[in-house]
Parts: sequence; structure tokens; C-alpha cells
Amino acid sequence: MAVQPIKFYQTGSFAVGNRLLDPDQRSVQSDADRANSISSGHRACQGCGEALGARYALDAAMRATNGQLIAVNATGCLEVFSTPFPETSWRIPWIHSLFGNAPAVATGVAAAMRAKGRPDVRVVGQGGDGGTVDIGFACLSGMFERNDDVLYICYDNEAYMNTGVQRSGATPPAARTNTTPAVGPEPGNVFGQGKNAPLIAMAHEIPYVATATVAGLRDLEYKVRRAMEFRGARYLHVLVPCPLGWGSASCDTIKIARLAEQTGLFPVFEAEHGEVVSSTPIRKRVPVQEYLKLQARYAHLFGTPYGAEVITRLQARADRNIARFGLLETEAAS
Amino acid sequence: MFEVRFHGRGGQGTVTAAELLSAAAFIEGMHAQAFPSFGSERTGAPVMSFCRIDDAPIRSREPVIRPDVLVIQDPTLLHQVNVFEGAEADCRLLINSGRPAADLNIGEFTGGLRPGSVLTVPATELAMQHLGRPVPSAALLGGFAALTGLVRLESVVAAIEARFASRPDVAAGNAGAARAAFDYVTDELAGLGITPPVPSAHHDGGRVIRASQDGARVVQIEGSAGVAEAVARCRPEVICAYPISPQTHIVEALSRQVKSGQLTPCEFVNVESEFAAMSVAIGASAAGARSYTATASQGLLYMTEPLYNASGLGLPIVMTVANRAIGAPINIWNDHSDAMSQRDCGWIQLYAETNQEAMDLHIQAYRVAEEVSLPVMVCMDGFILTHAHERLELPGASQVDAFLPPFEPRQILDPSDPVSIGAMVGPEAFTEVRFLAHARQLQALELIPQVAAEFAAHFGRDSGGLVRGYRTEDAETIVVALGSVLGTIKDTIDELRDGGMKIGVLGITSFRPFPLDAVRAALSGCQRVVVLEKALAVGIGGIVSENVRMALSGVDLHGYTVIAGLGGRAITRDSLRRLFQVAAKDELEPLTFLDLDTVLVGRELARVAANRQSGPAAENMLRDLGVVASRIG
Ligand SMILES: Cc1ncc(C[n+]2csc(CCOP(=O)(O)OP(=O)(O)O)c2C)c(N)n1
Ligand code: SF4
Ligand SMILES: [Mg+2]
Repeated sequence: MAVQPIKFYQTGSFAVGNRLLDPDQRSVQSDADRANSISSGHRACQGCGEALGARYALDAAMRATNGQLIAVNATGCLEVFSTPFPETSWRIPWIHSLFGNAPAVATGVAAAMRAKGRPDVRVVGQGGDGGTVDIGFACLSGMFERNDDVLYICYDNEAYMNTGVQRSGATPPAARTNTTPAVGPEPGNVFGQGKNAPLIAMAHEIPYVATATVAGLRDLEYKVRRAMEFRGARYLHVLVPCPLGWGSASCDTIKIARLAEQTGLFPVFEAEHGEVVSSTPIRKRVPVQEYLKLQARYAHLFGTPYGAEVITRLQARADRNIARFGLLETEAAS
Repeated sequence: MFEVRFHGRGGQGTVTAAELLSAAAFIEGMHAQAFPSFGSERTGAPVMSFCRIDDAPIRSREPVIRPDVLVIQDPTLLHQVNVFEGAEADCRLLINSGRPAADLNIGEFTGGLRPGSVLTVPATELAMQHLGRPVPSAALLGGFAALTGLVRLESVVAAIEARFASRPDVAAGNAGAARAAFDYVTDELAGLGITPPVPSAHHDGGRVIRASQDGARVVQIEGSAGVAEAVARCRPEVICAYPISPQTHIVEALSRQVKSGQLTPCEFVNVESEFAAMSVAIGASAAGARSYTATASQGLLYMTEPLYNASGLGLPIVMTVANRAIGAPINIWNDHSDAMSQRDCGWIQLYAETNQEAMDLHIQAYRVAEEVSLPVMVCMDGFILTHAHERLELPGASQVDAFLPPFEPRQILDPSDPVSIGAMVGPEAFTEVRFLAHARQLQALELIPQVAAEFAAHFGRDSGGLVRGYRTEDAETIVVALGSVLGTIKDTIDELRDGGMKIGVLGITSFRPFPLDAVRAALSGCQRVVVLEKALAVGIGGIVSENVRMALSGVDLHGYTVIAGLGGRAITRDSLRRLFQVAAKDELEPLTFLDLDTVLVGRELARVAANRQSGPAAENMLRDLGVVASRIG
């Protein structure tokens, strides 16, 4: 019988819920007693990165808080697909108020818990990139600046998906959305715009800021747990591919998230009190084309001289991230 | 009138199917209306779409309740959703399935139909063969053409080719699937001994879209696309918008026009909130640029503060409001709560009855706004209008240019002639500033009918104005309403008139300024007024009715307020007919909620009475309704 050789990393920290590990080292998801904060049957698209990321993040938060968790959700895909009432996917206390006020509502919940002498109950605020970096940004910055005891998680799928894929302040350059269509002399979203929410969060010098992707689900769980070890404002920015909005295959969500890391386009790191304390090294560096070509939102970049030039510029962005966050061991060492 | 209902799942092209059918009918010179039962459904969820076809313009906008043909795109729906609702004896069914109808286990539902009226066609298989993707809609339309003879196969193919003009392979694949399904159904009918129907003679055979070189043409497009075309022809210089359903298609189309260089010079700003959208429009307008934005619902509320600011400053911004309910509970469907909540923010508010009127009102709105230096909201019903495909006349660019001169601001931020705008005004002059704002709205009251008359002379169409009556002359009962429901009301009134009832309807186009005199003149001769409104002033009742009462002060007649269509509840001809019959006998409650589910309300009230912690009310009621809460009518 042919034997499948086991590669080392399949048993290491990069594999998900690996049954070969000691029970105490296993992922939260592999635990039969996990909280199932978001249970199955919700209405997300097949291969939705946001559904996956939220499930891991909230179950990890539930474990870290011994089940004493309240979630506040901004309007967006996660909110809509999880509550097709009378069905709800939420097995935790959860409230949706508005699109632009989730951080402030979370602050309110945290204040109430403080007033009631319930420091054990922790609060997670969450929303999409639009709800976070655009319309909710003033409330988010206020929550950070006051250092309110909230973990805010942004599920970044790089556009307004719930309303049918429009540009947000987190949409990367060149990406096609329905308000940055692939027409005209510079098709897709333009260069020189957009905001880097994790770095802005760090500028508030809040206790903890981290980024993650759904390709590193163990890492995501770790970062939620780590965040819950701090009091005060914490920010977690998770890259969650969206098959619908990115024009990618449902089965490629994790692959694409991994390529975002491995190209350097999405740096994965942790920062405490405004300083980067660790970054996840790129194991096998990949040119950005490998990432772009799997997504119809970049289809206009292939086969034209203009597109080739844009790809070079995107590669330069990736290279800059690699240097800035020391993502290649050799470069970090030099 | 021929009515078709499509049932499918998200991702199967159910909405596209209805649109393509309407386009095929348009090509044949008929009038057609296609619209989705829009929801927040994602891939795989049950969805519906509707198409009406007629030789005359179509006014009713209720969902298709008694279909002539039901097209089922996914046979797994047959036992999950009540797709047969409203299928009467002469309804015909076209089902996407590789199995014969007899094997589908639906006898209990189709027993009442005439023999031979249920047909299957392996549409997904045909799509896989010809297109390589499991999208059955084109094949089903080919089958539909064979089954009904209502549209010819060539028209279906032409509609497909126009739709996928930029992707010839997709067009060819879909066309191939449609042809194959046409042949398949033709054979099936022959097998059943039914002579396939031949398209009737009046079809003028592939009518081509009339076009002139400056863009004037007649097209079959979505209301949002039509509005975007109209706005673009007004040559806005700054467009800023923040996405919110059901406004998105308008601003997406405009972003495409700007990005592709078709609309130039124009800046499209993707802002980070509605608060910012209105703020950008304020800055742009004060700097002398013709400015445009669009929003709905939560977004309109989110811009409340800058809304008052824009009107207070007297900036002639034009904004589309794609009317939608306000949460909580969150609801994306149509009613007028959003615009009504801002009725007193100082903006002019115009309500469109049809998509053609929505387009025309934008062109008129810039004229009015810039003339009196006040901002204008053009309100159009979300989804019901914004997402409906119908025949629209797009004006030519030079025609619009001749009607709408370039923007000449009354006030402008200009380094060569510095002014200050937005100073603090204290008690010494605040009342006077407000008085003048009111005076300018009264000036608009004069101007709006003039502009509408000029528009009619220029474009050959009646649109806009203050109010519009229909069969009100000798009416004993007059219904008052705003927006797209007027069409359904008119059809109902025609029916009731046939039965001898003296009834008419008054549509209010200009809600702000409110045309007190025109309303009084139109209503004072009747015996009773039924105000049908799509918003509720919680704690008192009607909003429009209060305004109508003001117009009628001193006039002695019965007044009724009917709250209808909240959060997308369909307003059907059946319900309206019953309502007006009760009203005509003066047996209506002063405040009536049309089609209120009193059992549902009763259960929640009982829960509230029984338990202190009775839980969230909206969620409780949805639980009572069960999973498939969505009804067709
Ligand atoms: C004030 C306001 N403006 C606009 C909207 C419409 N809206 C609802 S969700 C959404 C987009 C959500 O995008 P994002 O936050 O990135 O979440 P995603 O759906 O992509 O997960 C928008 C524009 C709203 N609900 N409220
Ligand atoms: S649109 Fe994108 S984010 Fe929304 S449910 Fe689908 S995959 Fe998830
Ligand atoms: Mg998003």
C-alpha cells in the first residue's frame, strides 16, 4: 500500500484542528465542546471567508472568556446572513443596531457591564471593512481613544459586499468593484487611496492590535485568545476572501487568503501599545500574479501592457510590506 | 395582459430571466414590466421574479398573484415553496426538469389545471451542453416562446444577445440553449397533440431600438439605469455617494459613466458615509458645481444634520431617495418612512409615479432647485421602481441642454470675489432667514407647474407638476396617494368604475412644498377622502392625511387614513378593491392598517401580557410566522 508521507507542517501550528496534537494544543474548533457561536444553516455564500473567520474568532473568544461574551454586530453580510429570522445562527447574546455605530454600541455594553460589576463579561464588536474603516470609523477611533474594554474585529473582504460589491476604504488598488468598474484608462480602484486600519489603530497606542487571515485559523484563534488577555481597546483585522465579490471559486477561499500572506500583500503581525511585537514569516514567497489571477476582480490586469504595469506596482506594494514588517526571515535578519 | 411568475434560486438567473422576457416583448413592440421580489437572499435561496406583458402601458405594480404561466427554474422548489399559489385553471407551468411532469409528484397541486398544461424541459442540461454552466434561464425562455407563442424565438435570442453584448461566448451559449429548448418544447407539444401557438400577427417583427445621435432613444431598462442616464444628461460635475439598497444600481451606473469617461467633466467621490456624502455635496455645490447624490432609509437618516444644512444654506443639490423603510427592525423593502421623516428639513420633495416620471423629475428638479436655490429630493419607490425593467424614453443630450441651462449659482466660493457662507445668525434675524426659506418654497409652488408645462412642451410628455387627478371629476370617493402605488390604484379604480362606483384618485407629486390650494380644489367637491400612505406617524397615524386635512380645513367631508405597504408589504388590487368598497359605504375606521395580520398581533400582545420578560417583539412574531414567511401577495 502506498504510504502518504506526512509533511512536518501538517502536524505543526499551521494545520487546523489537527487530531495528532495533544488535546491541550488542539484548536478550539476541533473541540467537540466548542461554543458553536455561529451555528450552521446560515445563509452565507459557499466558501464565505467572513463566515469562517467569524466562527473561529467567536468560538475562540467564547473559550477565552469562559462563555461570558456579548457580541455587537454592524450591518453587513455577517449580520444579514446570520439572522434570517425566525432562524438565527447566534448561540451567544448578540445585537445588531446600525451600520456605523457598532464600536459605540459595544462601548455601551462594556460600560453597562462595568456599572453592574460584571468584569467577567467581555464584549466583542464586529463588522465588515466598510462598517469598520468607513462609516463606523469615527466611533471606532473614539472607542480606541477612550481605551474602552472592547475587542473589535474587522472582517475585511475589501468591499461593501452586502449591498452588492461597492468600493470601501479598504478596497485595494486596481480591484474592480461596482463603483470602481474595470473601465476607462485606469480600470478598477485607483492607486494612492485607502487606509490601513491596523496601523491607524496602532497610532492610538491601544494595548493590542493584530492582523490575521482565514488561511491561518490557528493563528486567528491564538490572536483572539491573546487579545482577551488584555483589558482596554483591542483591534483584530482579519482578511476574509469573498467568492462573490472577488470573483473567485468557492473552494479557493483559504488558498487565496494564504496567497495574500505569501505574496506579502497582506502582512500578518501583532502589535502591543503601538509597537509591532511579532510578524508571521512568509514560508514560500510567491509573486503577486499567483494571487491576482484567481480573482475575476483583477481579470482586467491580464493580457495588456497597462495591466502588466499595474501588476508591477502591486508587486512593489507587496515588497514594501515584506521589508516593513520583516516578513522574510532573511530580510528580517539583514 | 399576460402575467408570468418565475421561481428559482439565487444564482440561477431568475431575475435575469424575467428581464430578458420583458426585453424580448419590448423588441416585439409590446409593453413589458419585469421586476424581482427582492430580498437579502444569497446564492441558493428561493427567489421570485415577475413579468407582465401587454399591448398598452402597464400601470399595476403588485406582484404577479394569478400567473398565466409559472416558470419553475429549480424542481427542488416544488415541494419547498408554495410556487403554485394563485395558479388557476388556465395557468400553464414550465418546469426545469429532465423528468416528465407525471414523475414530479405534483399531481395534488396541478390537478385543477387543464390537461397538458404542465411541461418540463431539461433546461439545466441544455445550458450545460450549450453554455457549459448550469444557468437554466435562457433555455426556459426558449421553452416559454414555444409554449406560449407570446414572443418569438428570434426576439428571445435578440434579447439575450443584447444583454450579453460584451461577452459573445456567453451570448452564443445562452442563445443555443434557448433554441434547443424551443425545439424540445415544440416536440413535446406535438407529442401531446397540441399545435404550437404561432406568434400573433400584430407583432411588428424585431423592432429596432430607435436611436438618434445625441443619445435620445427608447429602451427597455431598469429604473435605476434610466435615472442614472437622466442624471448624466443633466451634466453633474460632482457625484458623491455611499451605497445602500435599493439606491446602489443608480450610483453604480453613474460611477461607470464617470470612470469610462462618458460623463466628463465630472468627479465621482466614493465617500465613507452618507454624512460625508451630503457634506461633499454641500462643499461642491457651494463651490459652484452641479452636485448629485442618492440614498435611502438609514442613509437618509444618517445625513439628517447635513440635510438641514444644505437647505439652510440654500444649495441646489439634487438627490434621489430610493424609498425604503427604516429600522429597527431592519428592512430593506419599500415604504415612505425615510423621505417622510425628512419632510420638514427644508428640501423640496417630489414623488415619482413611474420610472419615466422619475427620470423626468430629475431633469425638472435641477431647473427648480437652481432657480429657487433650494435642494430637491426626487423620491422613487425602492425596488418597485428602482429595480423594475420597463420601456423608457431617454432624452437626447442636446434636448436636455436646451431645457436645463448651465448652473449659475446665487452664491459661490470664489477667490476672486470672496464671500462668507454659513455665518451664525442670532435672534435678530433667524426668524427672517426661516421666513425666506418658506417663501422660496412657496415660490417653488409657482415654479413647479411652470417647469412641468415647459417640460411637456419640450419633451412631449406629461411629468411632474404639483398634483395629478385621475377620474376625479364626478367622484364621490377620492383616494389620495403618492408614488408608484398610484398605478395599481388607477387599475382598481377602473374596475370599480365599471361596477358603477364613483371613485377617483389624486396623486400628489410635490409633497414639499405642499400644494394646499391644488389639493383643496381637487377634493372639495367629493364626499369622502381616503388617504393611502406608506408611512406611519407612530402615536397619531397618518402624515399625508394631516397635510390633506390642513388643505381641507372648513370643508365637511369624511376623511380616512389607510396605512399600507409598510416595509414592502405588497399592495394588491384585491385588497384595494375591498378597502374602497368598505370606504364607499363609510364603514371604514378613521385609521386602518391595510392587510394587518391581527392574529399575529394578538399573539404577541398576549405574550406581553403574560410575561414580564416577553423577549424581542419582532423576533417573536417572525417565530410565529415560521420559516417561509414570505408571501407572494
Ligand atoms: C447608514 C447606512 N448606510 C448604508 C447602509 C447600507 N449598507 C448595509 S451593509 C453595507 C455594506 C457592508 O459592507 P462591509 O461593512 O464591508 O461588510 P460586508 O457586507 O462586506 O461583510 C451597506 C453599504 C446602511 N445599512 N446604513
Ligand atoms: S457576499 Fe461575500 S461576504 Fe457576503 S456572504 Fe457571500 S461570500 Fe460572504
Ligand atoms: Mg466588506
